[in-house]
Amino acid sequence: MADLPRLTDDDIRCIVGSDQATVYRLGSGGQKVVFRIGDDSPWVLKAIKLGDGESPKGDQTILEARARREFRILSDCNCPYLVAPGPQPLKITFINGQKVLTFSEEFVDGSNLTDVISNEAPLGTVEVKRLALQMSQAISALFTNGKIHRDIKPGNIMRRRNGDFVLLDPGLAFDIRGESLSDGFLVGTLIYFSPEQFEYDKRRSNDHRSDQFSLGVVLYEAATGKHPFRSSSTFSSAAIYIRIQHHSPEELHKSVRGFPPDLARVIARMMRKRPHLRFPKCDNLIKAIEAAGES
Amino acid sequence: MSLYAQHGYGKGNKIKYAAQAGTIDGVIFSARHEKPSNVKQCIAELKEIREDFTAMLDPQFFVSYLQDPRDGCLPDHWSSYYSAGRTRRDFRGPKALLKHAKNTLVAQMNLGVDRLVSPSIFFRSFDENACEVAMQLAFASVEAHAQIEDAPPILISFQIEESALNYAEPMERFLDEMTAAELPGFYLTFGRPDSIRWPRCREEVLARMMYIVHVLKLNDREVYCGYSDWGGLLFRAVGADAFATGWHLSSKTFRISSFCGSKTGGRQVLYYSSVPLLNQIRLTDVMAVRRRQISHLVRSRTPADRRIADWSLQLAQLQHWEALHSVSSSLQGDVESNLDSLDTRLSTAAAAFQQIRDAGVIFDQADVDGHVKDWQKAIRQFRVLAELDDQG
Repeated sequence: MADLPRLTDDDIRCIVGSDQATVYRLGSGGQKVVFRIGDDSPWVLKAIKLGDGESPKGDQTILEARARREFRILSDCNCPYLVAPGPQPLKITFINGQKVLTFSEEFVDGSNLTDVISNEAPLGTVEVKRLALQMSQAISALFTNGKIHRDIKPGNIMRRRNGDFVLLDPGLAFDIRGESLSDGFLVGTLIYFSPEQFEYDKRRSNDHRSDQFSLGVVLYEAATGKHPFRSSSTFSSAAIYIRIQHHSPEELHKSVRGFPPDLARVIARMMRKRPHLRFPKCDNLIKAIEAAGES
Repeated sequence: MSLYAQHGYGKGNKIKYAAQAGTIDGVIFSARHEKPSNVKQCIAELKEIREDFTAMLDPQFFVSYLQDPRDGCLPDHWSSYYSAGRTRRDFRGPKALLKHAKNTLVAQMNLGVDRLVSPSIFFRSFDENACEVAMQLAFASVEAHAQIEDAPPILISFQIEESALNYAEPMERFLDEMTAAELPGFYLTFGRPDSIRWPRCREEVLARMMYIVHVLKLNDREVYCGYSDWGGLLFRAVGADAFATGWHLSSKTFRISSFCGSKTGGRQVLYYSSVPLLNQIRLTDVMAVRRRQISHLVRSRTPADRRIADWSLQLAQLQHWEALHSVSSSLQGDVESNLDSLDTRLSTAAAAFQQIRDAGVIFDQADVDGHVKDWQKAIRQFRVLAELDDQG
């Protein structure tokens, strides 16, 4: 496990060039710490420790290169359902013997979907459909820019105060070990993996259909309040893998009263075990979601 | 669209008669059996008969990669893309692939075809080099197609020996790749072993053939299945836009041995295609059933039935299309309902075979009912593979 950057409030003030601002530590996970500077700031600062000392090696170089790529893609995506980059550009600073990469990103005012699910699930059909549509558009925007998210889960989705959803942390480039950014708890991520994400030799050929699977899992969980693959035995990676690979969750319209069967079928297809059985293109998925539940 | 004629040697007027009667909706010409000028003329005549008649040409590029090919018209009349004795060396580098692709596609322009069919080479396993070449040719063909002005839509052709379907995992990888790529449509041919003809097929292999067709269609691609005869009904049920079959054994079932080595002739036997039995039976068996006054168990109720007393090869061939057309036309629903409908037909066929046996009729062909179990098991396996059971 890589270290978190050790940064004082003064270090943060120094990085953003503001002597007086109040610094709030919003959270941390993986290699990343998130700060908000000032009470009303519309953006947050994220800091990743690249290493100790000046000469980067191995993972640090990859981490930095990927971070730069991700930041560029995020700037290019311009999708209302993807977190937007902030004004502070990607920057590397040497502080207290650490090499730290920082960048800013939109502060999303709202609730994390994990909390929404635990407090409000099952969500209504209209809200599930909105979540499906907006997150599919975010996946589509990323894929159009040659990117897949690879870590779609409730912890990476926020519901804004106006009810719209926004996808955070686009890309594991910020999180090279594939661990959860929110709590560092490995299972939290694995349980949203697509079957092909477990197969190391297929990782390079994964495409948006992998994100589609994870989103399907999120939607199922939002619609029922229950994770489709979690069970009392899913404690180890192997058990989670077997469950995701072989278990078919109960059809949504049978387990949730009044749930539209066509939307249930869309979500079931998103969670097909093999990528070639899911929706071939993001456009197909978006159209299917739009058409579902209308009759 | 559903049933096409798979053109082969000695077309006569069969295709025109069947087009006129509405039992076939298209034709796939065999380049090795026809000169370009004849193909062009025949297509023009067919379009006169029916404007919506679909025509395409199988360029049979794969023959150039076979040793000792039986290539008919290919060397003399399709030399713009065909040359016998090609080896792996001929497929090295993107330039070479693009050249093969472009030459093959351009040769089909101006024939009046509705689809261009890409060049490919035959492969026996998804892991062998020939499969890789076939895939590279597919991508090169899409690139070449984009460079041809006013080109009809392209179909990517694959000739896949059924042994490639012995294992699921390589097939799934192949499908992942094909569905991720921008390939608009497919012309699929499954190579069969010499000893087996449609409708017989090992259930797990048949289920995987159906799965390939289903997945490509599910991914919004056009899918045409060549040389599929009775098996085409299963492909149609799971989503194929059309399937094709011809008149000789060599155009009903694809065997790579028909394209190389010395020619083997066979005695022509008169057959009758029975819709209730989902198979063809010998005319002598039809007569035996009639004598027992149980001909309703095999009768197809096709227009040609009326002429059973004057049965001929030509009639048998036309009636074969009529029989397939009649079943195929009933498969207009979604995959689930089509499979249910075929399941019902298979149960009826099994019962009919039993009644025929009970009546003391023994068919000349020993395994004439073997396909019933093949198909029933294949449909069950397919449902699992396609994850249809939980679609609700």
